[in-house]
Amino acid sequence: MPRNSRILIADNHGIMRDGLCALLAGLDGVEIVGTAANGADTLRAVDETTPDMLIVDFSCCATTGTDLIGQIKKRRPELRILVLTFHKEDYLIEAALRAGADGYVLKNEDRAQLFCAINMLSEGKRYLSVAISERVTSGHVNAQGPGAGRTRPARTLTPREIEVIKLIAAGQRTREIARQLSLSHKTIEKHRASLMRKLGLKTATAVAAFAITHGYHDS
Amino acid sequence: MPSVLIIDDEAEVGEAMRRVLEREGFTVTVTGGGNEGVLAFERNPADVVITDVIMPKTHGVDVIRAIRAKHAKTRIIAMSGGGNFGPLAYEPEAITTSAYLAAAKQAGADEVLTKPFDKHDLVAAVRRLLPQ
Repeated sequence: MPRNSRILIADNHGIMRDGLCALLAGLDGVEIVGTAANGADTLRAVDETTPDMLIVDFSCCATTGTDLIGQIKKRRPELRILVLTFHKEDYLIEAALRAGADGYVLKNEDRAQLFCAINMLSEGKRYLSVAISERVTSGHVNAQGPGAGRTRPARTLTPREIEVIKLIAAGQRTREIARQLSLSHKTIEKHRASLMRKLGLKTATAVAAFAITHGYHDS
Repeated sequence: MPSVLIIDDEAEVGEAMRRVLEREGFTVTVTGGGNEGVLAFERNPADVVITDVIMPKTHGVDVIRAIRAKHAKTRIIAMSGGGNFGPLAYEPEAITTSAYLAAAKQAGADEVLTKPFDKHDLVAAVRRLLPQ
């Protein structure tokens, strides 16, 4: 459960603000310090309530949503920002992460994703929900932003390692992969060891699971 | 016979619920919007009000507040399946569903129902709220 998080909620829908307040008020260690309905109110509330975390929907500030995140991060770099929105367009996800958002969750995802995001952000980590994470790691979204590399080890894989991980996900063995890529068995072993080290994975099963959950199995 | 007022902007949902509850012996009125529902209730207070949460113009949380302000003893059931998804299926575990129903509870709903629910859930919820 989240640890002593003072949360500000910014959403243009009153019922969503009320609902999130009611929903999060039941979590241990969470205090809702305020709500805001638009960008200007959000900036004011950040100054007045000094929250630890901001949960924000772009829609509350129309086209300047990512500007708002950037402005807030400039003034309060330590403030954790979680985007909670229906918007799943790649360019918006990318812009939010580049602007400094620490987390991104879609409103139609399971509520467990929201609780998990709050928990992770309150511990100083970043969090992308399952749906967003899949967009990012499959290369649809370039999430280079502050600290992006910490949560996206897959982006450090070389093109050859990506080829190898896709074939592992497809269930192919080292010899089959070697044959398919016209490389030696030893070279494939070397690529496999390298990608496992980069991803922090210990077993071939873990590699396959990572590949499948991160969208490498069907591309 | 106990009376039930159903408020839902989706006519087919309201009518389906009417059929279920009438078969169980309840007297049922169905209205298609929040304002209309509040007016219908003022004209003829029902024993149980069942309201959708996400509706155009007046949403269910405001309906609950309006009724609760004057009728502390009325039993109210709020229902939602997330809303705002257009033609997509109801998403019972969605963050929006949880938030909308939490708001409804806070506004004074006695029970909440997550769409989709079956007829047994509906009848059981209504019966739970009526005096034995």
